[in-house]
Amino acid sequence: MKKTINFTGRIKIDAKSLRAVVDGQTNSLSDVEIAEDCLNKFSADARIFIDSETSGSLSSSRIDLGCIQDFQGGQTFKIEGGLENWDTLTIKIVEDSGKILGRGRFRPIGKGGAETESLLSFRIKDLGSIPWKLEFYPTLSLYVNSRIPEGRNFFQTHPLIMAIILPEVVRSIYRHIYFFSEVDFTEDGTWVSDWMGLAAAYNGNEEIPERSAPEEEIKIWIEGLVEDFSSSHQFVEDILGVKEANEG
Amino acid sequence: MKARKFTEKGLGEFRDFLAASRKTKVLPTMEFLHDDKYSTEIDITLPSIHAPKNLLKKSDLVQYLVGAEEISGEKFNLRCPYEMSWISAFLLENIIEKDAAGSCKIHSDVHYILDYKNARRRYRHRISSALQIFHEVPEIAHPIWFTRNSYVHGEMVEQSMGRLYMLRVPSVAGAIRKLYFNEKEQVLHPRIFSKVPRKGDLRNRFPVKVKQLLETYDIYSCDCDRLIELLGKEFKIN
Repeated sequence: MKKTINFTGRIKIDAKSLRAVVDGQTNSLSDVEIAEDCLNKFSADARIFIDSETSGSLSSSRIDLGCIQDFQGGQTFKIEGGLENWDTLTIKIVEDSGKILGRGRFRPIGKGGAETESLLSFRIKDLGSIPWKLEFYPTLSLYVNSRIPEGRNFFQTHPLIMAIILPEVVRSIYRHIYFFSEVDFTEDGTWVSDWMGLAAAYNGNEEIPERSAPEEEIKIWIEGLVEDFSSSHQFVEDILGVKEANEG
Repeated sequence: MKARKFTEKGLGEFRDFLAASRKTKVLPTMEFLHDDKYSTEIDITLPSIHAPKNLLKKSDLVQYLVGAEEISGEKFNLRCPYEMSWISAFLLENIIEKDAAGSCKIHSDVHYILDYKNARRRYRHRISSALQIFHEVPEIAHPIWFTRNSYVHGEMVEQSMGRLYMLRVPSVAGAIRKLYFNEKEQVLHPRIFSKVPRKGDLRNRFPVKVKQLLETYDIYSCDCDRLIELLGKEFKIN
């Protein structure tokens, strides 16, 4: 195993191993499940916590799920302060000394929340030999080559296609916003402000770099965002699923 | 008297009022403040139609606003630019700095007109940030923010409210008070906001160490003494 200078042995808990349903109307988290093979990686007396933070707020909520040996899936928990649309939950496995043994972030399955709108329009266009292309003017659109039959539907729903293109789409969009676009982040009604809102939701709303920040810092931030986005959508798992299905 | 919130037109009037006052350095009467064309009532009752003029400290300011919330059984909507900006306009005399000759120093609009969608600017709003701290930061740490004059934005707000990840850790506010607050003088220690990193400073080193600890220790469940211990030797209680 490759170890860095700050190696602590902490295990990253994959979003695939976690599941919970959030009900925005009753402020509760139900059907909390953690994969057994994930829990088996830790000592039985370590404690499980789920932390929730709300964008733009100083408040945080914590649910104590008890020790690993006593954990039972499917429970329902009430959350103080409520959960908003884009909230991400952090699970921590903690030993007695306070050391974090494992950590992972995941987005709960929502119900009863506000309706969401797609931030990206898929359109059809003759792109010659190029399968797909992002265009930023007059508005943000992902064009799919018109030679691909049912191309728009295929790109929007096929797990393998989505897993392969969407991380690069997200990366390209934020690189465009920071390095090419001059649209004000905060100008209402623009696709730029919508995507910056999405970025804020992924990182707790306080660490969006200014355009004037060093280029390297912005690139690192974008990569972190792409990682969070990919992890929450479980793209690698989707690819593995398609691969297994093809091989089986 | 019911508190109000601006309409879009009222917000424009207030913006124009600030621009004109910035040039003249005086605050004329705001004719539009209670006019139904520019604002509508909200469910919070203020003690009087006349704004107080003696809210000298931030603690006075929050006491006045929280008092109104308690009487009304409602809280101000800290995310509503129309509501927060009207309250700023109503209490403007208290949150504007004046020199000895009475000339007003009016800062940029974000200090009085809430720009909620901009995470880098919203905490500069005098009223919204003060109320958010009051409601969301443990009471033990309130003196760190509330001993300053009402018109002061202050480095403490600037450096802390832009780092929500840090203040969300329950023991952080108490640790800041223990490490950086002079209880006798009721002021923050000098040189803790230096742009150049100094050992154990609040602007640079403290956030970096908290961020490192967040990766390795469950500091959400620490008390502030344990947190200070984990921060390391460069952080000493003076």
